[in-house]
Amino acid sequence: MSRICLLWALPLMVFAHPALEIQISDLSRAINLSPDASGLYLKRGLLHQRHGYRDLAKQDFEAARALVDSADVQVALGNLYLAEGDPGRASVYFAEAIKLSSKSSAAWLGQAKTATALGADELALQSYQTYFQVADNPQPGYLAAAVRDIAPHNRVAAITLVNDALERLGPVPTLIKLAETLKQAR
Amino acid sequence: MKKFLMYISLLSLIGCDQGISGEQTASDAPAAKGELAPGSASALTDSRPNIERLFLQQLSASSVIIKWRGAADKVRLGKEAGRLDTVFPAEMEDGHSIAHVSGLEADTDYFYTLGNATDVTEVYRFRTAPETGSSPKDGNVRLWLLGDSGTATEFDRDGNPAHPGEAKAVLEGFMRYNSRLVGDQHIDGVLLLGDNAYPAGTDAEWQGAFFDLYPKVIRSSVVMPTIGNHEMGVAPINICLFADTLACDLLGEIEYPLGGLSMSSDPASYDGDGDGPDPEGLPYLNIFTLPTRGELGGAASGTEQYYSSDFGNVHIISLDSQLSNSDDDLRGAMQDWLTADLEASAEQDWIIVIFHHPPYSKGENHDSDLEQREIDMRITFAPVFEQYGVDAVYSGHAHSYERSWYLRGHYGLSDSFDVEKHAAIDSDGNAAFGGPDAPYNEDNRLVYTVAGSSGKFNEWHPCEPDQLINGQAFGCTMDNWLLHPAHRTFETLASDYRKHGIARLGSVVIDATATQLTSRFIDDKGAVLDTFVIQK
Repeated sequence: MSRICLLWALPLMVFAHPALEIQISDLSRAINLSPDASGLYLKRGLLHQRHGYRDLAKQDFEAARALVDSADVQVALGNLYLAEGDPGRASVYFAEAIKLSSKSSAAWLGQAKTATALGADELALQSYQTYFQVADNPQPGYLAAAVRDIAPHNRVAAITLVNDALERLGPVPTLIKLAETLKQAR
Repeated sequence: MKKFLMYISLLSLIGCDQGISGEQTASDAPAAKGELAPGSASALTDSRPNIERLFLQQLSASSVIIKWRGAADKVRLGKEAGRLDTVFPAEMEDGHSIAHVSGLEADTDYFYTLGNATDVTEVYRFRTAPETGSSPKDGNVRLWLLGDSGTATEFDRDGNPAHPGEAKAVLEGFMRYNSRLVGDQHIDGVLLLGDNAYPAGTDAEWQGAFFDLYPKVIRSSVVMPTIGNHEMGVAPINICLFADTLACDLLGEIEYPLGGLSMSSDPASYDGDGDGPDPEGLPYLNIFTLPTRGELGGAASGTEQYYSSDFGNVHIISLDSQLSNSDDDLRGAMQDWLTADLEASAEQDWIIVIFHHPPYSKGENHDSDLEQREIDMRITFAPVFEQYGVDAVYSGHAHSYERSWYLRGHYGLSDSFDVEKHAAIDSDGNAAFGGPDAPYNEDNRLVYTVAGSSGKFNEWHPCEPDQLINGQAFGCTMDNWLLHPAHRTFETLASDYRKHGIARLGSVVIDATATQLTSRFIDDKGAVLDTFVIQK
């Protein structure tokens, strides 16, 4: 009886933070039980990627896409290739994600990053600006990273972006610092 | 979901009485001092609009945001209960009515009602903040801190409350303590340390675990929250990983969406019930209206996920150890903001920081040597706190009470802590307790408090070998439970005391005058179990 009662008590004890390995192993079991659940592959792929297992992550994302294609899966693949230093390939996935869902802020953010990496400054700027428009909570940290990314290629575009961000989010210190740096570099 | 239903069905068949029963109902919490009862001379009518979730946000010396749900579309306000002659219309925002009240005088009591064309509520009262940098007329800013209080909506598989009456007991214990105070008993602010709506932070859970429990406090005191892991919805997990049970033997795996497990840094990924991201987004961000542009002092954060506010001579900072802390770019921006915010607030008498994940803790299941979020908060932010004069940091997450020595310079694992090197030392050569008889008074040191027992508390139950996964305990207490050496020691002999912590229901109250900050841990009976004092 005590074993059974332990099960009853579980959600009360639980559980704050199993390690990534535990969550991966858990999702693997769930996938064995529900092999057609696209979302489970996507979740496991994200955990694999976080853990540095990029090949496994890729397999999971492709498996998820084969079951149900979605902007989320395309974004996951795009981010994976971007992290691998292949922005050309990543850009294909982000473009597809935008086709599937033009409101996907993650897709616009990804497209902006790949465009920056590929030196397509106009597209990068437009994509960041669209991210601004569609994101419910545009994050100052992402925008700061974007400005840092874009500045070496196109200072004017970076200034435009940081000014847009300052107008929308207010005088956020990290953005002010970037604006001043860009100004000094003039 | 199908498997979850199978699991529930199976458990129903098995049956198990674990002795948890009782009922957590809407609170009849004591009224905040000065609030008028219904039927008083100022109660304008017998016809009351149906109002719930009435609370205050962004309370400053000249303005306040009043939010609620229900059949009222305006606020009537005045300095006399019988003369509420200023009207502020409400707008609808994210499912709440919201009225922006301005033109107020500092450190002044105001009375208000909510109403519509035909009905009006009873009269409530709040007090504006003193001017920035000033102490209030009563000499004291009082802040009440609730960590992990949201257990009124946590139920077992039978539908019985998992922690019946525990959050309410903490409320009553604090009110008992507060009512014994001589002089002004006004609570200026309620600081939420995260996990204030279990298990997933849904809108309904916020209602049941927070708004239904503390209505009389939060309609007269400003609420300042922070995001805990249980505010961020559910993630699936196989609970058979943690227990060898008959049900697991029969089913193999039991997949179950549990609260508190999200690893995401994106509030849009919020999933309240296990079926994928909810289109409404993160309830926490829909419920609270928090300053993003430095409206209440400090620097503009650009996000509601972390923010700050002056309240008289106290500067209060809420960091996001859950979402922003989970991404390098976001954490970096939060660190930049914190630095600028602290530089802008250097003239304030006191600086208090809240966030959910404690940088120093040996709580059950929450070890600051193992949890990445706790490690990241410690490594990234502790040096900034010291450099810019933060006085005290408060977290929750672990369901117990731990309070540090007066620290400086310790950013590593617990085994690298050296009392002589990292703690303030008293005249006897021991770590200083900072009690009322010998307050702390150094620059660039601070106290870290873990106060996550405002809704439940852990108990000593040693781990079996199979309850340890990768060195982390799940659902049991490890030998080092409440033994983090950065925390003060306790000599008390009681079953719920450990050498460096207390596992008892309670909450924290801060009293900040112009020259002294006093922090007390109040248990559910109203007893003071720990006090530290910082003088300037």
